[in-house]
Amino acid sequence: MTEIDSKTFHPLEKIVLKSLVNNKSINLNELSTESGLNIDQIRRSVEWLKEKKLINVKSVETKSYSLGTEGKKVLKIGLPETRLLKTIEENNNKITLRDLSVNKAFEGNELSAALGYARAQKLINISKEGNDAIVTIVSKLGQKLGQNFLQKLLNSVELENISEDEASLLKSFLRRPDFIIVNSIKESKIELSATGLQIAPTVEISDEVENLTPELIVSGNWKTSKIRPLNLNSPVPEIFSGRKHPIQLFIDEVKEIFISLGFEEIQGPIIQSCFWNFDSLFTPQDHPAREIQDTFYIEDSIIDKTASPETISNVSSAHENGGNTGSKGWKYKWNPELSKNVVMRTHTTAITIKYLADNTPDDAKVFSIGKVFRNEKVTFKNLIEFNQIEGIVVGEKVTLRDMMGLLTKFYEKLGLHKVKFWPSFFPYTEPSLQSMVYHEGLGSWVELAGMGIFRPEVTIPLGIKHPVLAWGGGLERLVMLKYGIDDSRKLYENDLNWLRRFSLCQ
Amino acid sequence: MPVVTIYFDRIYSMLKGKIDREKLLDKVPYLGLDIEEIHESYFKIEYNPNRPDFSTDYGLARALNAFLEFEKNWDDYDITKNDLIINVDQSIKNVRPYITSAIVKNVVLDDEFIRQLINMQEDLHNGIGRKRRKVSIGIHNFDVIKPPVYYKTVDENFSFVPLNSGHKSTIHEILNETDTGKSYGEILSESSLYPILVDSSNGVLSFPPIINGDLTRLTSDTKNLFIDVTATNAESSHDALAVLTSSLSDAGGKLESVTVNYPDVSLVTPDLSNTSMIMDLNYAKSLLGINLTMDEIQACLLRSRMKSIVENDTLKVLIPRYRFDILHQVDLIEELVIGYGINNLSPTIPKSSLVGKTNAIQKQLDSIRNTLTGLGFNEVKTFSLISKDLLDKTKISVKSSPRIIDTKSSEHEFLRNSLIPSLLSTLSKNINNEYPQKIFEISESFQKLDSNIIEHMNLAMCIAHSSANFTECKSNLVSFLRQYNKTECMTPSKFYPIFIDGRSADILINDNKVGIIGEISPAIIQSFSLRTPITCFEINLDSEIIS
Repeated sequence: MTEIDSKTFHPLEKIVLKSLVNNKSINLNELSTESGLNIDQIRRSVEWLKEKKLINVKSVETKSYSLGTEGKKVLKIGLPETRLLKTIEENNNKITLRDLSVNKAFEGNELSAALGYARAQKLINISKEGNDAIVTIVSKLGQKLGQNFLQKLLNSVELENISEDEASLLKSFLRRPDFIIVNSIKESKIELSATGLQIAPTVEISDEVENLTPELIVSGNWKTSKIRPLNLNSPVPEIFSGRKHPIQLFIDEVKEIFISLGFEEIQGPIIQSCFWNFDSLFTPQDHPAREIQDTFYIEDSIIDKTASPETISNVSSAHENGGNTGSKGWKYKWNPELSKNVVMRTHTTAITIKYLADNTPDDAKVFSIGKVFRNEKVTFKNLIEFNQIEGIVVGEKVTLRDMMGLLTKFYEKLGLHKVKFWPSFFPYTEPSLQSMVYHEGLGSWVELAGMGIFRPEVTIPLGIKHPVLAWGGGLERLVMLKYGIDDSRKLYENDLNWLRRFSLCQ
Repeated sequence: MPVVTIYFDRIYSMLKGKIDREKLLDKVPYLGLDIEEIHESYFKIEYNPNRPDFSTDYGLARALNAFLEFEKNWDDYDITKNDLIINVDQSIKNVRPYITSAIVKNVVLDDEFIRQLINMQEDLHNGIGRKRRKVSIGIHNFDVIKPPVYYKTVDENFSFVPLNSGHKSTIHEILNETDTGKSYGEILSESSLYPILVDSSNGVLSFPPIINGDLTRLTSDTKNLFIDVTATNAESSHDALAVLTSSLSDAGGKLESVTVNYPDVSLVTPDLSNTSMIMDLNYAKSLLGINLTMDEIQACLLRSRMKSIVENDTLKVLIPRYRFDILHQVDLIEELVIGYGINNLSPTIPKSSLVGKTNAIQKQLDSIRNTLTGLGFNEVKTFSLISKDLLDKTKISVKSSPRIIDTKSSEHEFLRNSLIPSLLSTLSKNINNEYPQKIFEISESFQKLDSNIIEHMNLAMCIAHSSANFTECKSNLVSFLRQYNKTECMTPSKFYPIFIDGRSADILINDNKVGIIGEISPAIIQSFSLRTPITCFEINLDSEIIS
């Protein structure tokens, strides 16, 4: 246990400790009166002192009593037993039960109650004379007491302020319906703990300054003031800074890598025509990937003008018979109407190819990062919306080996140093490769980007003269590796607990 | 992607050289095949859909024997002519116009052979056959067929005993009452005539692409097969037949050809002769970035099981008929590099003077993110596709929200035209986290205008805590806008059902409406099971902020 330095106590704590030295077990209100602090200050300092184990706080229950509706009524007309004594007195201290029963001072079964109470309090005696039962007064002592106690109970009375005589009356009153209200109050009783008892007498209330204020600075009073030392190890309330989403931070990181490798960023719309998402990429119109089971088509919409008539005609020929691309083509009748359907892009390649068609660069290195969509069921490894990273290089002399080199560099900058390549297949690239990287954290090979050289059936119809190297892959996969997440859905849960507290250095 | 199971004992019996198990598994991926699972007696490989020849172990063995140089030469397929003729009726032209066929003799129909055959048939149906629409295959017991065979049309009252049914059914009944009829009947829905393949005594071989007749059912005693491939595309019919018969030949079958007589033309199938394509060697070398001699190139191609002939300075590559995936010489270049071995290719870095650059719009969006985080907001990322339920809850009309056709999940059915519903949903998931909660998102919004979809870039933010109010929200808005030099921002009252009346406004910049701002209505707060006041604004960034 660290030593307690009373100098670092808050002034409020000091005052409370002082006030407790001479008071054994007092409640918050009493402590407030004793110390001159308001109840709020008392509450705060009691919490702090409790935390420091300098005081004990005990919960004590006290009961108080006051008149109920019946009690208040009786206060006005008198207790039934008092009225009984009065009636007997008026009748020369002696009356028969029969006379009493016809007396108008008592209604209903009030008389039997009055007789009962009076006998219980030994105020009367009932004896037999012939056929009559005679009621006589035994003692008048109780009458005044009862009435006074009633008066006293008009205000709430705590148990400790009730005398022994009153206590037996209270017992009787409590049995009467709606006569007495019992209030039970729990309150805290505060006293110094063993440590508190040792420390409290040594506490000095100095005129230390709690906090530096503008007044102290301006007035120059700071020169003569002492600023209270704090317990600097105390925990502090948590505050949160605004932050970017981890996916965005990763996107920023990837962008920086691309830019450092000499790539320029491009972007484009999510909503695409089938022409740019599929046809321009030599995906035959009956290809399974184009079916609504795999791609999000948008209801009742159409993109009428997809490309120039020349481009459309070139693409159409490439599909049907290869056109001037040197290909055999897919050998079917290409339908321009199907190319006008509207889809949510299934890959960012729709953006890339449009960029290449619009600019027909001789030399280019571009990249894009954007959302893509697939009509699938959401599972721990499948998202229907996810971000795709894509890099493209155009050049007269670029080669398949260059693509492998650039991708190796890209992974290297992400801290992934072991890369493997092997053949793969994509409808719009040839040759096509797949890459795997070794992840140190997982201790295993992870399948990442796919890549290839755009087919001439893709590039020639769009007027692109040189080979185009392309690679792409999902971004979320990399974010998951970075943060050690195994369920892709967690990335889009937006749990503020995570968003506020995830560590930037992974 | 399709998967095939390969048993070690079978594949080893087909390989013409020695290789240990580990090395074999090591080599397989370099053919472009992914190993999915490895077990004691078998392994599973995933192959690319353009290579149905990999759908059996015969195809894998064929490729491996070449790739591992166990086989450097091979004979062309030997096909004997059979007298069987298929007469094609004129009426089939508008129904399912093409048919090719072959006879395969001396096969042994053991369990494994049947399993391989079914796997290949399935693959061809689903891949090149486009779920039987484009191509479907029937395999029959040749010996029960009484030639010639007729490929013709019938109406829906025509009846026969379908495979494994035991009783006669009409075409109508098959289409409406059987599982395969219900699954594939739609393919024939455009005509009132139906394709049928019958023999000379009117025995039904097949009702393509639905079901075979019971007449020609295969049994373990079947020795000779008759194959029909019907199609809507002539080329695809030949392609599928080539893949099937090449493998059956490798399996030990003896191929015999069939004559198909169309009204105007007659052809003999299968034709398994090689096709050829010229490869531009300089193009190949420059695309791959490797320098190879003519001999080396030919050796690489042989490893990909393609022979080639040098013609002056060019190379004529002979392509096996089952390799219908070769459309262009780039496909041969890929075969060349696979034969070379991808693992033998060392990466290079291209020289380039190009400099990197961020996209101007993305740069501005990033600056906006920084401004918002500076104001203490947490960025969230939610989905663009939302449910009808979320739209209803926030009282947004589904009419202006583009809808997806046949979504697999109703949680993702509409393209959102506002980010606010997603932000409210995010807050409701964070009810147990510390308040105040201040979140924002920058994302696309989509609006349906007639048959067009308008795509915008939006920013929305929400503030939730016990004393959140309009003033605080607007302070954040004004502070944000000031950083983009938009000091003339007005927020005239305008009621939106998501907000409290009187605390609901448009956001105008230079008199143009760019967004909305307000205090969320308590009914909506409750419907999200939230308990604190919430304020929010959403602005369209395209029109005034980013340009």
